[in-house]
Amino acid sequence: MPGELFVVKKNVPPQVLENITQKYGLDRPKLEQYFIYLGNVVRGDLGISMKYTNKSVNTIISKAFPVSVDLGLRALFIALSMGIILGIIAALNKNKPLDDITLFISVIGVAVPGFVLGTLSQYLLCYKLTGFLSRVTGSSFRLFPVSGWKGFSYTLVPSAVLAFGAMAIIIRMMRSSLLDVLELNYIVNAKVKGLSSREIITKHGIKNALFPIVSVLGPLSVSILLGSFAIEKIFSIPGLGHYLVTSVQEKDYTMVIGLSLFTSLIVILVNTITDILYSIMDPRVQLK
Amino acid sequence: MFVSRAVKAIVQNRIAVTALLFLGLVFIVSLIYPLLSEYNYYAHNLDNVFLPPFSGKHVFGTDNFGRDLFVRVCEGAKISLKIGLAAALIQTLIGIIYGCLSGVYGGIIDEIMMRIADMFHSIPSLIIVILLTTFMGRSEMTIIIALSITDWTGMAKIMRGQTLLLREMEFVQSAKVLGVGNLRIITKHIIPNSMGAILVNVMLSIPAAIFAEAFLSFLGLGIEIPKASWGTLANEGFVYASSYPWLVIIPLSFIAVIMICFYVIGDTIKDALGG
Repeated sequence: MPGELFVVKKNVPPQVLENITQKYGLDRPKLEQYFIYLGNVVRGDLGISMKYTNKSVNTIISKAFPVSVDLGLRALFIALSMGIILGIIAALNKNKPLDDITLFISVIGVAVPGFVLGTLSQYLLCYKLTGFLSRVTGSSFRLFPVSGWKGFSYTLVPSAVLAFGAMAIIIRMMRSSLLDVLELNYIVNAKVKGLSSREIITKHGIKNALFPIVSVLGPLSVSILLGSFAIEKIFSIPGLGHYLVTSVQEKDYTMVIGLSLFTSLIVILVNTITDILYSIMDPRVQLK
Repeated sequence: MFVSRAVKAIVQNRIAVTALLFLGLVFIVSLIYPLLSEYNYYAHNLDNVFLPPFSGKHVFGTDNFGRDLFVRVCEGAKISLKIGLAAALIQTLIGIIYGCLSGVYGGIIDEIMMRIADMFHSIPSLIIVILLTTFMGRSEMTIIIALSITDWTGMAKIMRGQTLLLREMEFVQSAKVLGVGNLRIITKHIIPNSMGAILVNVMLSIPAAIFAEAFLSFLGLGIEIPKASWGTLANEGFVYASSYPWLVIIPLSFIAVIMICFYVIGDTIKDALGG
């Protein structure tokens, strides 16, 4: 197998080699090694990084995961709020120029990969616009810093870019869902009752149009989580994706497996939670 | 029947025709570029590094080793399209076979096969691909294999649904009564009647596979040097983005435009076939 552990002689101190061999039972049969590893995982021990000295995979996850969650939640918030607002605007202006503009935005968001938008907006907003503003005002103030994760201004561009793809999907769902709801009988009833169209839309329309959005929250959170791998690389944000990518490049096996396992676990957890949430919110849906 | 309906829908839609023409242009140029340019994609020329676009014979300029970017973009198109098409076709094939078998046999076999598919589906395929390429190396072949064995679950589920639906239809029932075997029912009745769903799925899988490959290569986990897909080119150019922006903007624009083209065409076919 290419790149198998310890095939390359890298001057590993004999003591280290012996410790690792003992910990993972590398002198035993392969199947037994596998169960030793699984046993460790069940006990919550994902092993020790082979690159970073004296750091366990757990320590790195506990440091990187909050950063990824922070970035992801900001993106989710932007995607939800902007997506719902733009979706409502599109539905209320059906087949008018405003509708076409939001359609254009959502096509870009669905079709253009996040890392493309990320790189382009880093160049345009962080290098060009920020550089231009600093030059004009003559101060050292940076509107959008190029990279890092040290404060509010650092979070703006990455989370907006990360939000864009999810926002595009929410716009389209919100638009079609609101248009569907406004056709239903109880809306007609509300109209007959004499409610103003503004009251109908805010009190009945939007509230009921939101359900389909909840049903895609799981897949959207997952796509945001995966998209963050590229965004974290572009903007040098020390999150999970950043560590996963570097550990693959450096063949840091315990890290690669540990981080993949953790990410998959999070994905399954998020999907389960949103499914349960959906059945609580919409009583018509029953979990079997 | 499905194909002609899809073609008709594309021809009638001006945006879809433009997208198709652009895709064709990129495809043809990527095949015949040696006739258009005297450079190759791997030779270094350290006298001509970082030339801006339209300098002399370098239409897109040159990169940090003085390699012609136009030629590298063409070579990248070849790799990106090859991986996208191959992965999409293999995925679809696996999905069709898996879904048909699961649907035709039904019962406990169906139950077990679908739970296995769920397992693949619940873990993001990019994670599996990253794991596989870590252990199998990163040639074109391994990326195609990795993408094909992770992303077939969608097609399998659609095919299973189609099979369950068609299985109960009268013409399939009567074929069964006549003693036609399962294999023949699948090839003669179920697959031909599901071509619409299959076509839509292929059209949506191709950009997804191109995206997955570009994403991996952009992270530096894809095709290795000196070969370069668009993702790799963007990854290499990314380092110089502040001073030599065209190195990253040109490959990224190609990724973006190609994705939009596939998306538009896929959407048109989907509307026409009601997939």
